[in-house]
Amino acid sequence: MMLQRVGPDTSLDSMCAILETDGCLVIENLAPDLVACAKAELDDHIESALFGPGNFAGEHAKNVEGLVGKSDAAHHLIIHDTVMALCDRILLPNCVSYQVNYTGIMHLEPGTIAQDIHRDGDMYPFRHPCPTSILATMWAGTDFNKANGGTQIVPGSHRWEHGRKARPDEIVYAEMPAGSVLIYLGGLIHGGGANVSNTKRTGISVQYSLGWLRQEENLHLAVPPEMARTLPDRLARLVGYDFGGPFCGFVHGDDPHRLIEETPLSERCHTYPELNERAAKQQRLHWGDIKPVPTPLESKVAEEFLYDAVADMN
Amino acid sequence: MPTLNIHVPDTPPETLHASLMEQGYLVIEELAVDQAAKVSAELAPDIEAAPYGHDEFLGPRTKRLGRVLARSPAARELVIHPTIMALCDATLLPNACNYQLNFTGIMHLEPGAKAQDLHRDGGIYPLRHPSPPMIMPAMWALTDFTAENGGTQIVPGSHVWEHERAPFADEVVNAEMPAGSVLFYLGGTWHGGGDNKSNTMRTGMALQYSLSWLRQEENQYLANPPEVAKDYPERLRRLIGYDFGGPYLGFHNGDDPHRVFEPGYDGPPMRSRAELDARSASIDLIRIGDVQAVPTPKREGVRVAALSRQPKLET
Repeated sequence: MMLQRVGPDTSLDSMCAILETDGCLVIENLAPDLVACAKAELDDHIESALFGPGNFAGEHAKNVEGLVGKSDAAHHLIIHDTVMALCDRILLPNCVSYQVNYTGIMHLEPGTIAQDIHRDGDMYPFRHPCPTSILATMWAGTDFNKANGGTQIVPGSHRWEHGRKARPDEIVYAEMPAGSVLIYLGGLIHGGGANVSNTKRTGISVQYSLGWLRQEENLHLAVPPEMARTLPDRLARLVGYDFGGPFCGFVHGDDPHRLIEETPLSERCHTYPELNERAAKQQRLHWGDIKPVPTPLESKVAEEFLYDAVADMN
Repeated sequence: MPTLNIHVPDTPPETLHASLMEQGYLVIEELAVDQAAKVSAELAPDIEAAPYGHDEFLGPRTKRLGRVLARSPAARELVIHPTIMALCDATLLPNACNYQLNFTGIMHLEPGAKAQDLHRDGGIYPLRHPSPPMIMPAMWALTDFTAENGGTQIVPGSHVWEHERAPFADEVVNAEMPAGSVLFYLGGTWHGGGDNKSNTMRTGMALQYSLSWLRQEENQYLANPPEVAKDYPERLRRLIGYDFGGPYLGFHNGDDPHRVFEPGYDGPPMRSRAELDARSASIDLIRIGDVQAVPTPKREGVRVAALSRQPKLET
């Protein structure tokens, strides 16, 4: 399969259709000015970062995380309208609220070897294929090509059987001009490429996940309350100063966003109406293979007693 | 009414675990009487000052307090009680590389407090029941719990019921236990606070534990920020979340989040620990959802290297 590339004006429906079948997509030149700004703000951090070990990609690569505290332009990338619209479509079917999962630079200098291919969703102990847990974006801070370590991608692999490995001829490379973005799903097999060129390849990775999962990067430590207070409301909620759903993720028995508000509201609450509405509509997922005990007939007919925990919290 | 599933403090953890998985709940009588009394004394002023619940679910004659660890040093010891840790190991580690504190709360029922609607704590995650344990709550009795004063309503066996099945009144028991005892149940067990028809207060301390890859019900980083958690023992700091949830999960600055308490550390950053890697390799991955895989084509030849971050692979 090829990696499909679309222009920034492509309809949301078309992009979602590609993500459904391929698990990946490049939107070319989606935000060149913003990405250039973010990269300029982050260059000093990249310069002073140490090469591996301990990072994802080895001796000639650098990772810099905690982008919210390092680049104002990155704030705008994180809440980019197109990305938010894709998250709404891809993540909201399986959660009441989604969150930023990871923010980091993947900077590959000449000589970087290819990263082992993997699935980001493997942080969670689920068998593949499974509902999408993560939507990942890789913004091209520089041009990406096969020679300089453009991301290795295995289109369609988000729907493969669990143990199936990729063949070399099933791997394609994310080639895209700076300012473009590669979108892929948590079930997609991918990895950083080898940089056999003589130029540096810089990617800005921002991931989003279902709001009931633990974040890969601890955003509450990366963005402590005193920093969160300075952020736009949407961004503060997105990094985790919000509920993951009704009764999920509160502090002081209340919306975590209250911690960073000027005038805390007086009423304690464990949810808000928008979350309740979404929770009530949510299809619950089967998890595991536990067979229930048979329900006795009298319980089946007693419909007036039927009860759902989340619905009741409304 | 069935008799309660009650155990004595020195029961072996394997026995406790087997009983919990079979019945969906159990009581250990008088596991930590003196410690519970200490917690009760430390929290008395905060309970006095706490507001009543603002809706029916939270209870207009019920007071709730979160952030229990920040308020009570004695509670910090109960959270890591060896019997509970052993029960968490057995109950939660089959489905996670690590477990974490999910929630801390005081549930203080005054005379006249109405029974809470029965619910499943696991209902906060969009998963159908029955499912493997996601949450293991422990409800410590800080006062005696009786059927009259609002001892927790529990529906034995309901952790393996079909998702839509709701209990009848005669399927509900009340956790009656003396102060210093602890009631365990599972995220899939129907339960709720009882009616306080007595003239005494009923105070419980709920400490819940969950699979480390789930989001916490109570945000422990905001409830126990580094400047507060620095005074906790390392075991407790890691348990509340200053630790990896598994390989590559939950890091801070590309490193173990516990480094926020280790200012002198100058070693290489880590994305995991050997112990977590080993557990990750031994976990049976679990099916979620009903997504059908595309058929794997039959082809000769070599497939490329293993998926390095994938815990378990068939070849």
